[in-house]
This record gives sequence, C-alpha cells and structure tokens, in this order.
Amino acid sequence: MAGESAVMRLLADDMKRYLKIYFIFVKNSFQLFLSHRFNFLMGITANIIWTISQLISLRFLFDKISTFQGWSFQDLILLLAFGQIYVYTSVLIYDSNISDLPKKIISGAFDRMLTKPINIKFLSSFETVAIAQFIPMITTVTPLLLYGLAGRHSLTLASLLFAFLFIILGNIAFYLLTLALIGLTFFVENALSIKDFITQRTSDLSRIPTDYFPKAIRYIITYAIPLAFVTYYPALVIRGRVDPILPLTSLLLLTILFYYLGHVIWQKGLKNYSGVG
Amino acid sequence: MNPIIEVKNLSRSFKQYQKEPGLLDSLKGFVSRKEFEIKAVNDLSFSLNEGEIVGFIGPNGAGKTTTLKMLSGLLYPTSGSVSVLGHEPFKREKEFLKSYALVMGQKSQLWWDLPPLEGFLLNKEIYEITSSDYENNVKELAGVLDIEKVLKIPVRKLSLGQRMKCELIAALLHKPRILFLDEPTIGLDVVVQKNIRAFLKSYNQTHKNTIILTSHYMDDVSELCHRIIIINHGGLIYDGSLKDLTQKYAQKKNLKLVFYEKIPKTELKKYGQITDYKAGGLSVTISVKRSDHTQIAAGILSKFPVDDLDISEIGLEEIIRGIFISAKA
Repeated sequence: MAGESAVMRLLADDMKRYLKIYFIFVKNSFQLFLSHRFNFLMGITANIIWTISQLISLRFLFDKISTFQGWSFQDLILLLAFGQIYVYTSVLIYDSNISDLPKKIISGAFDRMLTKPINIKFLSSFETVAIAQFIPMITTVTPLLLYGLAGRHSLTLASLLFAFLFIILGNIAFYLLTLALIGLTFFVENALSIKDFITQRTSDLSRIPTDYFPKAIRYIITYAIPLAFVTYYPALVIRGRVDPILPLTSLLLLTILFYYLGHVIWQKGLKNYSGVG
Repeated sequence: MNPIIEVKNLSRSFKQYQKEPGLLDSLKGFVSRKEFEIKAVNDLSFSLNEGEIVGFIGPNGAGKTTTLKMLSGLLYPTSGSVSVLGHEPFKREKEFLKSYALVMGQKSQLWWDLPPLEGFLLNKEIYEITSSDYENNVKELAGVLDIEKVLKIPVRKLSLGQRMKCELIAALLHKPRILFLDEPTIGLDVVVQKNIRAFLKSYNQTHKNTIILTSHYMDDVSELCHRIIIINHGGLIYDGSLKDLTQKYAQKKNLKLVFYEKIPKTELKKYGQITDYKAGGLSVTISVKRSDHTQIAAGILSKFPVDDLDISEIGLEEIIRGIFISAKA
C-alpha cells in the first residue's frame, strides 16, 4: 500500500510538472501571438471566410433538396461544427508542432529537444500553441453549434455528454495517430505528406455523413482514420440515432491501439535516429 | 579516481544513399538506390575523470559531434559501450538528462522572439530547479557574463556574443556535472571568444564540472584544455596532455629575431626555414629543428647584431595539421 501511494504521489508530481511546463508553452505562445498579431488576423479572416463559403454551398444544395441521405440542413451544420472542432483543436494544440518535426530534425533543433529531461513526444507535440486558432474556433464553431443544436427534441443531457465524450476521445485518438504517423519521419523522408494526407486531407470527408460512403470507405474513415468518431457519431448521438456504448468502446480500443502504435514507432525511430551532420 | 565517462570500442555507422545527377538517374535511383555505409565513429575508447576539461579535436567529418551525441544520448551506438555517470546515455533516463548540458554553437535553445528570461523559466520547470536556486544562478551567471541588461530583450535583437552568453546561462542553470560544448565560440569576435573562454575556465574551477569541448579554434583548446583527444575518420589518433602533444609532434621551434641592422635572407637561410621576413631583414622568424634550436640560436647570437630573441613553440594549429597530414599519408 505504501509503495502504491508513493507511485501515485510520483505520478501526481509528474503531472503537476507537465502542467506547469504546458502553462509556460501557452504563456510563451500568447506572447508570440501578441507580437505577430497582423499575421494572425489575416489567418482568422481566412478561416471565417472559409466557413461562410461552406455554409453558402450547403444552402445552395438544400435549396434543391430537402434532406441528404436522411440528414437535414441543420444536421449537416452540426456535422460541419464537429468537423471544425476537430480541425481547430488539432491546429490549436499540436498539429503545427508535429508538422514541424521533419524540419526540426533537418535543422538540428530536434537534437536540442532530445537533451531535455522531459518526454520527447510531449515536447514534440505541445511546444507551441496556435493561440490565434482559438478566436476563429469560438467565432465560427459557436454559431454553427448553436444552430445545429437548437430546437432538437432528441437532445438530452446524456446525449450531450456522450457527444462530448466522442469528441474528446476521438480527438485524442486522432492526436495519437498523428503522432504515430509523424514518427515515420525517422524512417522515411516524406512522412509529413503521409501524415497530412491521412489526418488533414481526409477531414474534407467529415462534412459528409459517413453512411453516404460505400462500406469499405466507411470502415477506413472510422477504424483506420477515426474521422467518423469525431464528427458522424457525435452528430448521430445528438440526433438520437445510435446507442453510443458500442462505438465508444471501439473508439477506446482504437485509442489504445494508436497509443501503442505510436509508442513502438517512436521507440524504434529514436533508435534509428541519425540526426544531421 | 573513478572515471565519470567511459567509452569502450565505440562505433557508429550511418547508411547513406548515392544519388547520381540528372533526371534519368534520379528515376533509376527511385527504383533502386545505391546504398553504402559510413563509419562516423570507429572503435573509439577513452575515459574522463570528474573536473577535467578535455579538447576533442578533429577535422570536419572526423566524428567529434557524433561522439558527443552518443555521449549525450541523442544517438544509439552501432557497437561498443558508453557509460556516463553510471548511465547508458541512450536510455535517456531523467536523472541522466538532468546531469549534463549540451551547448551547440550553431543551434539555439532559446525562443527567438522572446527574451532569454522566458527560456530560462522554461528550463527552470523542465529541470525542476527550485525558485531560490534559479534566482541565485541567473544572478550569478548573468553577473559573471555581464549580460544582466539584455535578459529582457527578445533574443533576435541580441548580438551573437550576447546570444551565446545567454545560451550558456540556459545550459548551466541546473548546474550540470558534465558540459558538452560543440563549437561554442564559432562566429564570435576575438574579444567575446576570450570572455567566454575565461568564463568557462573560472566556472570549471569553481564548480569542478567536466567539460568536453570541440572547437576549430585552437586558442579555445590551448587556453582551456590540459588534455586533448584527437580523432580522425572516427578513430583515435592521440589522447594525452597538451604538453606531451607538443613535445611528441612539434618537430620544430620558432626563433623570432629582431636585428639592429638589416640581414639579407641568404645569410639566414642556412639556419632553417624563414617563415617571416619583415622590414628588409630587421624582423625575422626562422623555423628550426627542435633538437638543434639552442645551438642555432647561439650561432645566430654570436654572428649577427641581435636586439631581441624569442624562442617559441609552433602553434597548436600547425601541430594538429601536421598530425592529420601524416595520418593521411
């Protein structure tokens, strides 16, 4: 018992330490945000314009049809909102850091990171926070979400909670998959393109209900790339069309699988790491 | 004394791919690439004691940085063993990573757009330095390096010398027992180089930490290191004191002479190789055989009107160059 509590205390101390370090990353990123505000403002404007263009094209589509595969305009807005949450969270929290890894290896910055007494995957993922993404995330996602949820009879506290769980766990699974894919940088030169293709390019599919696709693609964007778990399933739960327990269990298993996949790739990758001359 | 760094038969190879120029050959290379292996470090063995400052010397591509990277746990060795403070570096244990610092002259660990203090604060949390230790260390190091005034200015606005001094503070905040310095004075002007050397020397004397230094500036090595390890093509060429190195490899000495009157070159040629001839023969440097230098000096003194005579060792750079040339031959 004494041994167990000592381990728990160590874990708690470690978590506290990592939270403190993460807080410094956020603080430093916020300072950078303030010193480069013009670039960020341009980015925000571009993001808002993109969301409006999506809304306009959906509106055009629904001028001609009343439902799409049984999904109403409001349902598709909800799907778009969940898709945007995934995109913004990944960019806000980790994607720019992870995408920079090949560059950091080439420039030698990764060598410097390896000397630090801190988990290298943590440092590679969270060193900077794309603070600027927070503003478009709030300004675009909030109205989409409010519109997508408004006046639904199927909406309950439990369905909201399950949708939230899908989004949280799904985003963690996506992060772990991204981390595993970028770990391929230690073995192949174009790991970034592979990672971008799988985690970013496919996000376009998130705006279309997964049941629209043939079975094979449906499986791919659910179990190989957990896209359906961050958009389609939360929307289904909100619409009251699915029992969440089984897909949530699958997502949990998938998350564990991606964690181990990343762990193995990074362990072998670091062993294979040759740095730069 | 037990060594704190032990390297035994250490080797590290890298796979390289050959790419022929031109589109056709690029396409061929896409299908099947010519692969070959480079031995960056080859069967290297040495050990270091606590508190030593050791110069790690070799030409470009000799394997210096690769060795440092293996000692600091960045690279896995292909074969052989490394023990640093009782740890196998490539296991990257937290306690090991907290016990050393690696400063690379060409790579920064500070945030480019933020003041150095922000980078120091991050290191404070990463290395779990207590607030009182942190305050004292920053104060002491910034004071000695005379850069208190720049700690709140963004790194990108600092001069190269100020940046390097800040890098040193960031590296030394957690009081590492071992300091790996990879070209710490590269690109710096002579005054800053001298300041940094003086700082490292006094820091080593005060804190008794072990320093391994790679540098192409021989002044860094001769001013700081009593011991030198020379490697070439990944293998050990010399491991010993600077004094022994000079005695073993410096075959010549320099006689710097100032005469009262101009002496023609032809008169001096027979004593040795004239390496410097100024003011029509008023100031001359002759490189002579080490074993004969006293007789030659006596001969010149008795024959010519000498105002001043200085006998000096040839520069370390020249000795090292001689070693590499003979190793090549």
